[in-house]
Amino acid sequence: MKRKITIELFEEHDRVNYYTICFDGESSETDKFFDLFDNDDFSEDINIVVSDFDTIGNKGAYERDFRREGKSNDRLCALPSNWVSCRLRLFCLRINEQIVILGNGYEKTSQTYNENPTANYYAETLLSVDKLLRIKLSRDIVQLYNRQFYGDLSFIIEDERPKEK
Amino acid sequence: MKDLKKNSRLSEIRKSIPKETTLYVEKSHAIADRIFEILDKKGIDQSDLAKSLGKYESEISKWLTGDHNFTIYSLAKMEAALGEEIIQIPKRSDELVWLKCTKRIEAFDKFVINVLYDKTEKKRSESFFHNEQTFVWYFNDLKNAVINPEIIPDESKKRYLKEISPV
Repeated sequence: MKRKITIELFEEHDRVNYYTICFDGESSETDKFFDLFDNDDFSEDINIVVSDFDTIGNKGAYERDFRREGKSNDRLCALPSNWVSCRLRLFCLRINEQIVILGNGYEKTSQTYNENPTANYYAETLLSVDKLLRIKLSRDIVQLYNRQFYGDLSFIIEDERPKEK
Repeated sequence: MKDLKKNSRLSEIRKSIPKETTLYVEKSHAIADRIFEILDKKGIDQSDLAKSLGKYESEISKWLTGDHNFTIYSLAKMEAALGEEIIQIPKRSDELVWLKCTKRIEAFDKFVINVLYDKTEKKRSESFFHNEQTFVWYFNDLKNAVINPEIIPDESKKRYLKEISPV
């Protein structure tokens, strides 16, 4: 099913702006991540994720800090950063040192995200957005200036959400 | 300057994050940043570091991509290989006071040797008054810096008295 998805500003920090993706008529994918994991079972992990946001937000989004999740030719990665232990993974696209697009995430229980259908869906959703974003950037439909995106940030993607059990 | 946009839910979470979690994340980043800063400054790459640590490059790759929990021992090995400190521990306050005193003693000695005992008559006549004032200033400063019975150990005081007595 084809659906509209939009890139929206999620949080601003001194050196990094975090954006998120949002399906039409739904809360953002990152809000859904916090809806699912902001509870007693994962409070320590959620605290680490938020502290990591803040630390990276204050120093800049360096490539070395992000966990590589995708293939060498895409920008898919995950937070929290490489340097901390955490059971959760929040998918993101590191656009540059100043802009990160957050998606949804999962509890890491397998070696790769592909083994988890839900995690795989979240990763593929971000990768679809990235593919279309690159096209819009190359055609100057979307521009980057400082920590901001300008232009049309909505996209139509194939939404292949796994069926809930 | 406009306020930075914050997510209301994250703002709520931030209120209850324990201090130790924030410190854990900040210090983990700081250690990684410091390692990369030294590597960059010294132009050392992954393979050079692997060689100097006597390890396989694949293992060092894990160290530098976060797939390794540093221990004090592995950090010490890294410091030895890089020839620079990664983590610095603040000195004890009495050591700091003594260091401050030592620096003043050194400055005072230098002043006495280089200026007051300068054998060049010309220089002495031109600046004798100024030097005399400076001498008094240095001497008082030295005295004030050292006299702190609360934190300076007796041994350090003895060392101080011994060092300045020839003057």
